[in-house]
Amino acid sequence: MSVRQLKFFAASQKPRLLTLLCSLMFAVLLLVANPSSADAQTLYRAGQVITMEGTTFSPGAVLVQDGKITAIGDSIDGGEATVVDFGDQATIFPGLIDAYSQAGLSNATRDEPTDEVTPNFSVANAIDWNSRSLAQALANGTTTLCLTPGTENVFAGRATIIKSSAAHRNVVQTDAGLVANLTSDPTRRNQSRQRPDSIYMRQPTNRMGVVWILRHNFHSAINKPDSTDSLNSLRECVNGDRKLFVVSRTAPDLETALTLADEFGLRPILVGGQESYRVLDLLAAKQVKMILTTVPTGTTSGTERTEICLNRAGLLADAGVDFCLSGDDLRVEAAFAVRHGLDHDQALKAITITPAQILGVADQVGSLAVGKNADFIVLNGPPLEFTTRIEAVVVDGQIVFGTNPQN
Amino acid sequence: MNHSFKCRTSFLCVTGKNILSRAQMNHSLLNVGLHPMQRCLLIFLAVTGVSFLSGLSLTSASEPIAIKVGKILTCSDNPEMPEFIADGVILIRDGKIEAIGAQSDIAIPEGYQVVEHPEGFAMPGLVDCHSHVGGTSDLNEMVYPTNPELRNWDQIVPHNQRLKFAIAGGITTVCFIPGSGTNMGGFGTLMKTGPGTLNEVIIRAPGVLKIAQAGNPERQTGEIGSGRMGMNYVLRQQLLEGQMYVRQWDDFENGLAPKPEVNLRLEYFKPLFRREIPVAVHTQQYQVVMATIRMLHDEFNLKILIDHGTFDAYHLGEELAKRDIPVIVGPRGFWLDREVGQMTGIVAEYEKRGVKILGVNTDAPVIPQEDLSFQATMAVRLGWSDERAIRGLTIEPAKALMIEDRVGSLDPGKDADIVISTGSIIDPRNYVTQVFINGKSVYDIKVDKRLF
Repeated sequence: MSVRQLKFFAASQKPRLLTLLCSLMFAVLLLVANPSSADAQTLYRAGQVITMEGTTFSPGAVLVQDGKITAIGDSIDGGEATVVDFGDQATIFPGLIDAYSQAGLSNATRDEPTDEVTPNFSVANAIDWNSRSLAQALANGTTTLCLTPGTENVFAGRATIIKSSAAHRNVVQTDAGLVANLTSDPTRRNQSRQRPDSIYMRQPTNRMGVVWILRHNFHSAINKPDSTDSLNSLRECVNGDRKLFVVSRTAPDLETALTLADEFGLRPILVGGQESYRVLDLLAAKQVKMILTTVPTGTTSGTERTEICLNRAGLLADAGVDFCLSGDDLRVEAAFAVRHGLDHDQALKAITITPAQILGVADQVGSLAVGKNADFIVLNGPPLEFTTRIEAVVVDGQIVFGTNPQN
Repeated sequence: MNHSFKCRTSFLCVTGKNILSRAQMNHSLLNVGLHPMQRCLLIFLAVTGVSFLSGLSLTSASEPIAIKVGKILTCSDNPEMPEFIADGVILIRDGKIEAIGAQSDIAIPEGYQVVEHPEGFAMPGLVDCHSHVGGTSDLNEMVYPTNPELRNWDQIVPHNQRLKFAIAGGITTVCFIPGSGTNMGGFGTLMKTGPGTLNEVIIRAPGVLKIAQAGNPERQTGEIGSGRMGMNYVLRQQLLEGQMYVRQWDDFENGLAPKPEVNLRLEYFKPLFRREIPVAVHTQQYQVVMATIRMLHDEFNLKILIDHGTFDAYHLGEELAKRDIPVIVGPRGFWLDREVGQMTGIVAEYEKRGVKILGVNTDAPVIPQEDLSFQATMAVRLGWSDERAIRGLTIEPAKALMIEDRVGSLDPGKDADIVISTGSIIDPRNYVTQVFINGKSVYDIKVDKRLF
C-alpha cells in the first residue's frame, strides 16, 4: 500500500481515532524508511482513456509520478507501479476546468463595497478551502477553477487559478488577471439619494457611469506614467502583460467592451455573453475569446434583461468564435449546449482544453498528455450522458473524490 | 468609437457644405433639359462623388428602387424643388435619393425595382429631437450635477422593439439623449431607427449635449443646485471649464500655444464649443428659457435648441426668433393661461412670434415614440398651420440637430428615408404603409404585421 493510498484510506473512511493515528504513524514510518517513496508511480487503468489531445485509448492507462503524467497509452508497462484499475466499463477523462467561478468565495469576500476601482485586490487570500461550493465543484468533476472577484465593482480585482481539492490547497496561478465589469451590476448599491455621505452614493449609478470609469482609468493608466499601483495594473493590461476579463452579458455591453478595447488597445476575454449571438460577426471579426456563463432559461428582467437563445454556443462555434463553457456543473453545461446545437466534440473541448488555453495554463491542465498534471475524472459512461456518474476524481495524481476500486 | 466621432464631425464640418452644393448642382442640372438617362448618369456620378468625399461606407444597396407615388411632400428648402409633386417618382440608389420629380419628367432606368403607391403620400422620414428609447434605459447618472464625460452611444440597441413601433409611426431619425436628472446629463447620439450595426445606425456621435436647465435636475441632497440660481451656477462653472479647455486646444492648433494635456472628461466639449453640434436644452417656463438664452446662447455662443419650451415660455418667441434659435415644443403642447382662462397652443404662439425652426417632440417614452405625428396634429388643432406642421416633423428638427444635409427632406443626395402613408400624416385617420431607411424597405404592411 503506497503512501498516497494510505492517505486516501485515512481520508475516505470513517476511521476510529486509533485507526487514524495508526495509519498516520505508518505513513510517517514509510516516508522515513523509504526516502524514494515520493517517486512512487501509480498506474491508472480503465476501459477507455479520452485524452482530449485527439486520441482515445481503449483500453487505456495513465502512469503517474509526482502528480504528473509520465506515460499514457493502451498498454503501459508500469513496472513496480501501484496499479489502480477502474475496470472495463470506466472512462478516464481530463479534469474539467471552470474559467470563471466564485466557488469558495462568500458574498462578503468577493466584493469590496467601499470603492469601484480596486484592481489590486485579490481573491487569493479570501478562499474558503473548506466551503461546500468547492467540494461540490470537485464532486462535479471540476478540478481547476479560475476564481474571480464578483460583479459589484467596475474594476473588481484579480483572479486566482486553483485546484479544487481542499486537501492540497494547490494554487496554480496567484495572479491570473484583472476582472472588470461592464454590466449594470456595479450600479446596484449606488443609487441611494437619501444618504449623501454614504459610501453608497457614488458613480456609477448607470451604464454611462460604468463606461466612464473604465475609460477614465484606462486613459489615466496610459497617459500618467508616474501613477498609482492600481493604474499600473491597468497599464499592464494595455501592454498585454496581464490578462483582462471583462464581464458583459447584453449585446450593447459586449459591443461596448470591444469599442473600449479598440480605444485603449486591450485584448479582453469576454465573460458572460448571454446575448453574444446578436453580435456574432463582430466577435468573430475581433477574434475575441469568450467564457460563456450559464444560459438563463427563465425570463430575465431589469437592467440585465437578456434575450434567451438556447443555441448560443452553437451559433458562436459556427461563427468561428473561440469560447469555453462555465458553470457549476460543466458536464451539464456541455450537454445542454449539444442538446441545442453545439457539436459534441467541441462541447467536450469547451470544458477541458479550451478553458485551459484561454486561461493560459494548457501546458499544465486541460488534457491528458505526458508532462501534464494528472488531473482526471473517472466516469461510468460517455462524459455528456445524463445518467453517467462520476466514480472518482483524481487531482495531481491522487484520488480526492470517490471510490478507489483497489480498496 | 473615437474614430467614428472624428469621421462624423469632419464629415459635418468639412464636407457638409459640399454635399449641399452638389445636391443643388444636381438640381439645376435636372432643369436644363438633359435626357433623363444623362440626368441619371450625372446624378449618379455626383452622388458617388459625395459618398467618396464624405468617407462614409454606404451600405452596398442590392438593387436601385423607383417609388411611384400619388403625391410627394418634399419639405425641401430648395427654391427649385416644388413643395408638392403629384404622380411623382423617387429614384433611390446606394441608399441615397438619386432623383425626384413627376413621373412625366423622369423615366425609370432599367434595372430599378418599381414600388407603386398610386394612392399614397410620400414624405421624408420623421425626425424626433428628444427620445430616450434608442437603447437601454440608463438615462441618468445621478451623483454629480454636471457630467460632460458621459455619453450614451454605448447603450444603443439598434432596431429595438420600441424603435420598430417608431418606424411604424414614420420616425426614421431620433436624437437619443440622456435624461434630465442632472444639469448636464451627458452627450447624446443622432441615430436611425432602422436595422444595422451600431456604426451603420449612428448618424453622429456625439450628437448633442444634453443640458437640463431646471424643472427636474434640482438636487435633493446637500449640494449646490436645489434652486435655479444654484443650478445656473454649477452649469456656468462647468461650461467655463470646458470653454477654457477648448480654447487651449484651439490656440495650440493655431500655433499660438504649446500642446495641452488631453483631459478625457472635457474632450467632447471640442465639437460643442466649435459649434459643430448643438445643446439640446431641457428648458421650460419663461424665466428658465430666458436663462438658457442668456447663458448658453449669448454668453457662451453655443448652438442650442430649446427642447420643451413649454408653459409661458412662448412669450420669449421674439427673443428666440431674433437669434434664430430652434424651438422643439412638447410633449405638453398647450398652456392654460390662468389669468385669462384661455387654452393656448404653444407651437402656434411661437409661430406667431416669428420662430422659424419650429417642431414638436415626444420625449419618448413619455409619449410613445410612434405618436410623434399626433403631437403635430394637436398643435394644428390649436392653431399651427398644416404645411408648417409637416415641416416641423421633418426638415425643421433636422436643422435644429444640424443634420439637414442628410435627412429631413426629399432632395437628391440625401439619405433615402421615405415614409409612405395613406394621406397627410397630420390627419390622425391616416397611417403609414411603408417606410424606407437608407434606401431599404424596413416596414411594409403588405409584408409585415401592421404595428400602428
